[in-house]
Amino acid sequence: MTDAKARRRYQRILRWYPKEWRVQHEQVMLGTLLDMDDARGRRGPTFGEAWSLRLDGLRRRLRPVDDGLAGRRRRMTPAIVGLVIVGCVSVGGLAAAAAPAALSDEGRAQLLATCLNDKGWATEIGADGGVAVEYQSDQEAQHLADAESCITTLQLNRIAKPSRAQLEAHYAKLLAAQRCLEERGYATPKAPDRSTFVVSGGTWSPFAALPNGTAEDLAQIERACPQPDLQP
Amino acid sequence: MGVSGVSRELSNEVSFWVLAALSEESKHGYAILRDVELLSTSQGSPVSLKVPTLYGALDRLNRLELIEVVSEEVVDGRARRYYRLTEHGTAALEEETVRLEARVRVARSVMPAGSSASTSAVVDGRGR
Repeated sequence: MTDAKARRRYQRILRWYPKEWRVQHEQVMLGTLLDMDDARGRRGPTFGEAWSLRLDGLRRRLRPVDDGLAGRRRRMTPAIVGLVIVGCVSVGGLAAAAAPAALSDEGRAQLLATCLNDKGWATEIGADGGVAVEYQSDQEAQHLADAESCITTLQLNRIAKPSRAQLEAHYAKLLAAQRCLEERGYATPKAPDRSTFVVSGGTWSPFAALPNGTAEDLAQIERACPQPDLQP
Repeated sequence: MGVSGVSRELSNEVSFWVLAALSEESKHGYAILRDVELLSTSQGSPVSLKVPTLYGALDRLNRLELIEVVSEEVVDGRARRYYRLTEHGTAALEEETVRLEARVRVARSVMPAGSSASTSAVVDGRGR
């Protein structure tokens, strides 16, 4: 992933945050994320980090002020809350049938909408795959509870885990990248064996030990040895 | 928010370490994240922060007026926002530290002799 590509990827993920929040904080958080990438010699978020961002964005849509206190809700004016759900799903009986990874974004949005419908909310699926729910300010607490319950049931934060096959394919690409880096004289961390890599959820990267340098230095290394992207 | 809000916030480990990291000088997001990891490493269980957790803590500390934004600048196309402790934040960190020290002393005084593991080196080992 190049620097520009990582930046775009983070920007896409940061769209999960509400607009008011993005106006104030998006650029600063993006800068921090890219700084962190530099320090760790890589480009773009891990699966876990991407989901941690998405969920944080979602929570801020639902509960605009993070005051760290459960149970205190800020009043909202009547609002349309758009939830963009990307991931695979298991809701009761629905899940068993569908191979989660095979679901399209629309399919996933549909499942979230169904879950919210079952709880009595009118939903609308937008062209971007988002699920919009309209509610009045005095319904906010209930809406938040229901949305969080759906998200938990849908196992949103577990969804992002890559499949075994994806991890195995990714491992092979990382080994090739490691050879490429070593041929060019860069030190790389020792590779775990394949099953350890898969069990750990793909935490090893040959790019982790690159010397600190400018974005341009890193971009140059990546032009010679492209960093494979685990995203499907 | 009153005093109880502040002490509750300070009892959050992440918030405590963020204030500790900022007690040296003003810092921007990634520098805070890195220094929280460095400082907390010397207590034996490093606090590894995700970026959203960091910004959640910064938001709350800012709202409690324990920290404030000093400046914003763009370096190499990246926006950076620098935070520093307020007077209120410095006092709150001092109070919390005194409270933790007292807690350790009391615990130490009731524990049987000979069970002293190394607890003295707490905050000083920056290791850089």
